[in-house]
Amino acid sequence: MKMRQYITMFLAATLLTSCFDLDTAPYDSVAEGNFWQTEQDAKRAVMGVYAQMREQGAFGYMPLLDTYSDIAHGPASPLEIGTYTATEDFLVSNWQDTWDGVHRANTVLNKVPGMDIDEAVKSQILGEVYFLRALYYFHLTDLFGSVPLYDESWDISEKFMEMLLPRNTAEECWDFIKQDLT
Amino acid sequence: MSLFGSLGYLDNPGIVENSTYKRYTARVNIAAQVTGWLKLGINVSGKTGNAEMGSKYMSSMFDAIGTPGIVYRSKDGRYGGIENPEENAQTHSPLYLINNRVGTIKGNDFSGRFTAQVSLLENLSVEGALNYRYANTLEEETPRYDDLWSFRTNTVVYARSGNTYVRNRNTADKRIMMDLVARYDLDIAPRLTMNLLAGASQEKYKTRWFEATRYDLLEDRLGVINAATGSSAATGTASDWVMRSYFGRINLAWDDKYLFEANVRADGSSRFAAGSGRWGIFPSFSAGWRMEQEEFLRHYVWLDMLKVRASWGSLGNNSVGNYEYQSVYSQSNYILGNSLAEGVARLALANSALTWETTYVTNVGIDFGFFRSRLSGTVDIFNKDTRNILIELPAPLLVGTVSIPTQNSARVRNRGIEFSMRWQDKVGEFGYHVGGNVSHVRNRVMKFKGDEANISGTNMIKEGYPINVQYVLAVDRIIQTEDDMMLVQQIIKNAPLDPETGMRKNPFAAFGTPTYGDFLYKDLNGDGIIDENDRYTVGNGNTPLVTYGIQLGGEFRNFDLSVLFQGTQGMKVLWNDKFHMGYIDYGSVINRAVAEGAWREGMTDARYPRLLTSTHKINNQPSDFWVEDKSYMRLKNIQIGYTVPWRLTEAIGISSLRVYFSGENLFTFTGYRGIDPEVSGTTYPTLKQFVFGINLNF
Repeated sequence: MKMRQYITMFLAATLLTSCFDLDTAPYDSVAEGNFWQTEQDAKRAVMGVYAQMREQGAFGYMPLLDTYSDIAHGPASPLEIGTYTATEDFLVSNWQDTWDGVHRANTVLNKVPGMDIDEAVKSQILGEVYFLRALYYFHLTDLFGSVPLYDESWDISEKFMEMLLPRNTAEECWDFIKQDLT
Repeated sequence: MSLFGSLGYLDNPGIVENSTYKRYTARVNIAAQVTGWLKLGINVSGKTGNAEMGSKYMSSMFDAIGTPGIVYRSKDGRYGGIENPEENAQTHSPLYLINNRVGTIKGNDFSGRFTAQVSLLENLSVEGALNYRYANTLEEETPRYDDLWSFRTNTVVYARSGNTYVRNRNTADKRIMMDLVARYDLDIAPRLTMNLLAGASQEKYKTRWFEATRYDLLEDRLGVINAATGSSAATGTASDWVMRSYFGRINLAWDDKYLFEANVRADGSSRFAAGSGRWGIFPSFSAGWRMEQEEFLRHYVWLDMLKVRASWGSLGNNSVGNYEYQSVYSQSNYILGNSLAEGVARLALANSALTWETTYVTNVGIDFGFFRSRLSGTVDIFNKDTRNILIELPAPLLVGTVSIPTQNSARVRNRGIEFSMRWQDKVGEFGYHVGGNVSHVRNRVMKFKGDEANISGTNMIKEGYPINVQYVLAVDRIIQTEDDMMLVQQIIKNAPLDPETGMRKNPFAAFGTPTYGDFLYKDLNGDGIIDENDRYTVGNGNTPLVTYGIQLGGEFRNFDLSVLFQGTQGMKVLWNDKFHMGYIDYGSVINRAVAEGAWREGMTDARYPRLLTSTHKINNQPSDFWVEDKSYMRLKNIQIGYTVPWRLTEAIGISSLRVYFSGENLFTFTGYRGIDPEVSGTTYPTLKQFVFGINLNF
């Protein structure tokens, strides 16, 4: 009779002691909670803001913009002929890729000031990123006339479905850019 | 102690080249009553398979079936290219596409289930089980570069060359599931019995893969990494999820007449953030009444069984990505001063509020059996109410190119009825049965974003409509006569005025002004302008309204026959893919129906619009013209068998021997013009299969 109880206890013990951990984390990226700790984290995040410049829509296709002016001629795309709509790929990728740059800059500007790192490094990082944000906003304002302004206080990860603010005026956009540069 | 073992071998040459599949399977089941109170069981099975590389790239064949004028392959093994220099030189022969990567995909699969059952008391038992499954796949791939020839001029029209390489990819999936269940049976009163069950289970799944490629093989036919001498590249990652559950059940039965059951389970998933979102609690209740046991129905001798059931319950669904609730930073590098600068960025947004999607099911049903069980069947009416549906919604474009997490949004109701009936009888030596089942479901979005709709492609989600209803333009007609052209002129003449310029607007600005052979779309919103605002809803979403099956069968002496039909009604989908569309370019193919039915000069009865090149968008807008009804009925299976009389086989030690012939998917009745109403899009279709088989029992 004792044996039965032992085996039952063994079964129960095996199950209860070998509980799988319900907290899992991705294997190929760093979780938010483990990031923003060291100087290296901050520097890598800044490189992420620079890296967005390579994207086609941000600055990667810059030379192609000339084909929409009188300087150069490209394939007769709807943009060149003047029959484009808001769903035109070129415009959509300019819009999305450049906003990605703004959001990356905002994330750094939101997180880095609160980090416990060397003040000189911190101030250099913030300086670079304010400049980069101004650059991305310049590209947007230059291309689209005026845009809604989102600064570092907007938490994109919480409120991505609510990013439907109306445009600011062109003056407000240029003022915002100048403010970032000074 | 009982023992069961089996071995299997399959050699399927495939219906396409380079797609042979060979498989060996083995299984052993052992169950042992060790002592009066301990029962152990081991079920182990394994599988090892070997497929040719072409099977991995099967879909590429459908993506790029060549121009009609090309020779797929000549007798000397050379592949054909384009014969007309105006066509796209990269047009491939499908035979080339299926053969241009060679190698093997080796799969090994082990699964085992180990159980122990302990009877603690006469009416109390505990059972523990461990399931383990490990699957490993190794792919070894090398390319073949063959030139494409024009056999008219006997020249190479497309020289295929490139680095040779060997690519190895290994994937390992591991799944462990454990459960522990206690059962307790009790007679509370002389006529009232109770069964209790309580248990816990947990499950862990992990997949891991890596891929290594090395270029420049020493010799074409070699196939391992060290046989290559050039540069190499490697990638790989892993992913996992865990789930834990606790559950309990009470069964009450009074006289086997009144039945009641209550269930509750709590499920926790690693896919949701720790806290209130991680755990979902899902209760369910059901009651049954076996009416044939009642005194007042006893004298109806034809009534064998009549059971009335009602239930209400809830179930959870956690089908989202493994880490969607966690905000993570991934690699995003930059180049500074001619060297790589390591960078990171958030490439995917997270939704920390993710939680279980819950479906509440209310069901009322009747099971019946009449006339000594010759007539039997069930009727069920159900209402499924799914809340907090896990759905991917498009965010404003301003959010950028980061991927948007799944969200708990929308509430969808599925209401339906299921009915099945079967008649079976025997007349002399002839036994037969006739059966059928029908289910009808209506699907409706109950709560979403108010009047706002979510449109992706032609799928629309909006309150009051079936989920993913098709949202398309309505085609009025193909313009073929002068009267039709007059209509176009009238629309232009009656177009509204532009308040800024005082001139009439161009009503066809959105898609171009139609002419002979083009579609005239309906101005459904009546604003005088034909544009995307004139779309309307068609169909019932992605699910059929009615699905049904019919089973027939009979036995006569040693012969038996069974037939199965299945079908659906009321599913409409947009079929406007590679080969079924309103435009054609050099070097691409369209369906014969489109080519032959297209409008040409002088026609007044064209079934398809005129063929244009892809820069003309007018005839290829998503419209109800391209919406097809996918209703079908298919002879799914037919089987004829003959059992060799026992007295003939007994002598050689065979207890039963049956030979049979079976055919699958032999006939299909449908109005759908696509490749197969049972699959979506243009892809590998369902196959007709003929099987000749022998069943042996010793």
